[in-house]
Amino acid sequence: MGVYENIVVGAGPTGVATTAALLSQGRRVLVLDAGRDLEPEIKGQVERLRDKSLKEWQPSDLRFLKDRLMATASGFDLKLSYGSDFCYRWDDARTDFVSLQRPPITPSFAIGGLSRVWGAGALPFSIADLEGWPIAYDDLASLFPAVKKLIPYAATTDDLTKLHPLSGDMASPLQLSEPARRFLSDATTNPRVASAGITVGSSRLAVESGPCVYCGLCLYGCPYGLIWSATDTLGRLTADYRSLLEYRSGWIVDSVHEAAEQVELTCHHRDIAGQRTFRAARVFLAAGVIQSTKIMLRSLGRYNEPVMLRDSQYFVFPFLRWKGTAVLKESVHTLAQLFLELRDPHVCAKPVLLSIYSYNDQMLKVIQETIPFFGPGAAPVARALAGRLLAFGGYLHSDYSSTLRLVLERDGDGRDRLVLSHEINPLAAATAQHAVRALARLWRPLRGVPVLPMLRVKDPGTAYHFGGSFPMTLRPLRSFESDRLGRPRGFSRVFLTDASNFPTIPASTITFNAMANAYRIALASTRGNPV
Amino acid sequence: MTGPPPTIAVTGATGYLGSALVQHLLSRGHGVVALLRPGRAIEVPRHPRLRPVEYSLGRELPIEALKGCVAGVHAAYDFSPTNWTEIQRVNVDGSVTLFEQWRAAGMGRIIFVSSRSAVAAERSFYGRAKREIEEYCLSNGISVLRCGLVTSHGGRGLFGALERLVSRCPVIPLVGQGRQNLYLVRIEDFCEVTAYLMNRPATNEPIELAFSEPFTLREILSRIATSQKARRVFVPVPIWVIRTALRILATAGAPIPFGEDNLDSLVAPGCPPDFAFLRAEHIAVQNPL
Repeated sequence: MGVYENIVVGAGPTGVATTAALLSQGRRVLVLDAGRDLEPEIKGQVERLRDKSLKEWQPSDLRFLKDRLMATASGFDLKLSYGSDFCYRWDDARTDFVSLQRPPITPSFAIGGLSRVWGAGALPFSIADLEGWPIAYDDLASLFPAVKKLIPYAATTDDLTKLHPLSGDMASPLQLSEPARRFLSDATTNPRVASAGITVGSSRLAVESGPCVYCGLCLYGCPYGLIWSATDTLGRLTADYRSLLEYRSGWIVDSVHEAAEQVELTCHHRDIAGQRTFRAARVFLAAGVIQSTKIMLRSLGRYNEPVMLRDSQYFVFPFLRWKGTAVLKESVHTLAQLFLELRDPHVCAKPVLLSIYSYNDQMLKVIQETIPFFGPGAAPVARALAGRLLAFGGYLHSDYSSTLRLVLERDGDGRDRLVLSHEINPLAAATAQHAVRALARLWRPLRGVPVLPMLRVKDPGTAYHFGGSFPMTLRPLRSFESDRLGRPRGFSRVFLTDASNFPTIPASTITFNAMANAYRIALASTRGNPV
Repeated sequence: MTGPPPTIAVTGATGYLGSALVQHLLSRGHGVVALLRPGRAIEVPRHPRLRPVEYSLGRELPIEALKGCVAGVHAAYDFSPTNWTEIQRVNVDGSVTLFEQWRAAGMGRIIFVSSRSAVAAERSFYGRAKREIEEYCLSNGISVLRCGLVTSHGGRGLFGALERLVSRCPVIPLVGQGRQNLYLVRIEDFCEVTAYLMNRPATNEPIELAFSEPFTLREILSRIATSQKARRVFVPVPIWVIRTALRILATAGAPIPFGEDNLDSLVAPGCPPDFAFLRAEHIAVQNPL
């Protein structure tokens, strides 16, 4: 068995960014991936849908997409991919997993990881977001264009660009829905909004906007596959770098071990009994925060010792506008329409980011369930509300959020169990409330109010914006720390390239920035001896 | 020519004294950098000249936060630690670190808001901590403002707790015989004098701030009762009984607006204050009752 030059573990967004960076430098890469995929019968149904035009779709064609997605007043329980939960299925036969959150948080063993179900938000970090990181803003920002080349990037230049700069080509943005367009115009024309520390702009989305037909199925899974997932990039890299890139599916990594100028990777295969060892000069762990942390804990032999994961607290609330639009008749996309950043030192010393969604069919369902007392009159009331409601999803900086706690336990019989629990930070709920109240103060210019009683602060981790189990520091002194290249203390050839190495989780969209960070580390690893 | 009133850093800006001081400084045209614990910034007024900054005693203060500050008032005290080691780490060492950072940032006038509890430092951790901070201040050119019991109406603090006690209880327990002398000062005077001290060099002695004549606890309570037009019966209770009762209530987690430290402030009058500074500067403190 030979020694590979580079092994990348995982083919989610950070995995493909790592891989792309290495390939761009002419390096050979083996990608080891758990690689679970969408069920073939569902794939077939999606393809049949794609072959028909929008007008030919029958409600029965869409049933497989819609039937299993359940939304409540506190958001989605679990976001599915084309009605399938394949992204969340636990595939590690050698470890049990327990999550105490509701809904439970599951790491993804899917090919493409959670980018198969994500909301496609791709806002680059601002300078303020990187406060407390051991790298300069430009160290990360200089890689934004490279990442942007890996994904479609539908965005436009607006007020948010000043805070979250991104140069280079952009695909044309998706069309805003009428309610979103009006909210944006209200928020940007009245100077009171800006002086309250609020910046609003269109969402930045990793979506191929051109062919979009605005069928509104984004939340269920785009029938045309226009929402980027890491599988798109992986497919392209596999085609472009046939001689350099090898992709192997079904492998789950158990541990890493550095010895004699190389790394030994102990893995097992989903369908094959026993363990097997791969050897490489360098290993990049991009298996997703929970998986990568599990691998490191086992490699370090740190059983029964909790490691804290930083989370960006997620909260949701509706916003009621005075004037409605005929949104039910409109063809809209149902991803985030707008991003709103709140920088108000009275609310929070760090920025707060809000994603704004306009109407989707799940919203109508939730409204109808929330106001059953209207009886037969409920339908028109629900329609009137639907035309006036915007859904806000907010994120807080990890300093103001609860934390997740991950422990790898080992039983007497040698079986491992990974337990994810959390510790509530009372600041989180308070800060979310303050943020909502800050918007409520602007009821006049924003022509509406947030519905504060319906604010729901979600369980930690529910938005999957977490990481920081091995935060990067200038000089890793403690055991669960890594250096500026994501190498945990004591390792020189193992690089964490997913959000496990984030020193903080800013209130932002995490994926795009985690990809840039992965790209940065992978590039640096090819330049001389980074040790 | 003088410019606009300078910017002043204030710790404890959501506290009883701090919040009043912040309002006072803002009304005088000062800029204020309010140093607040995380999550508390929402409690200070939204004002164009007020900048909230997160800071907890015992933690590092981001130095850029002090930009433009020429003076500082330290009125914060963290009551959450209960053992002396922790109180010393957070309150004493934390305050010293804060002063050092303020001086390093070039802030010329620093005022430490102390309490008459520091006179009888041996009686409570609070008094002891205040006393230790005072000692550092006096040897490092920082003004120490030692306040009597600060009164305000419908307010917070110990005086507010006494007002609530009188309004709620028909029978009022008197600590000891209620004969101990207490020195009082109106919150308006506290604000005035603090602002005045910004323009004065530091003294080597604590500046005692209170109305020249003391009042007994019984007098104070009966004046409050009279102002509330309420008839109240006063019952002397030995201090150990009240102390035990407070401890039991605190252990049981009862929401009492009056803690053991408050009790110590009432029973620890110490020697009468020396009003040398007020006399020398011709500062008249009004009768608070």
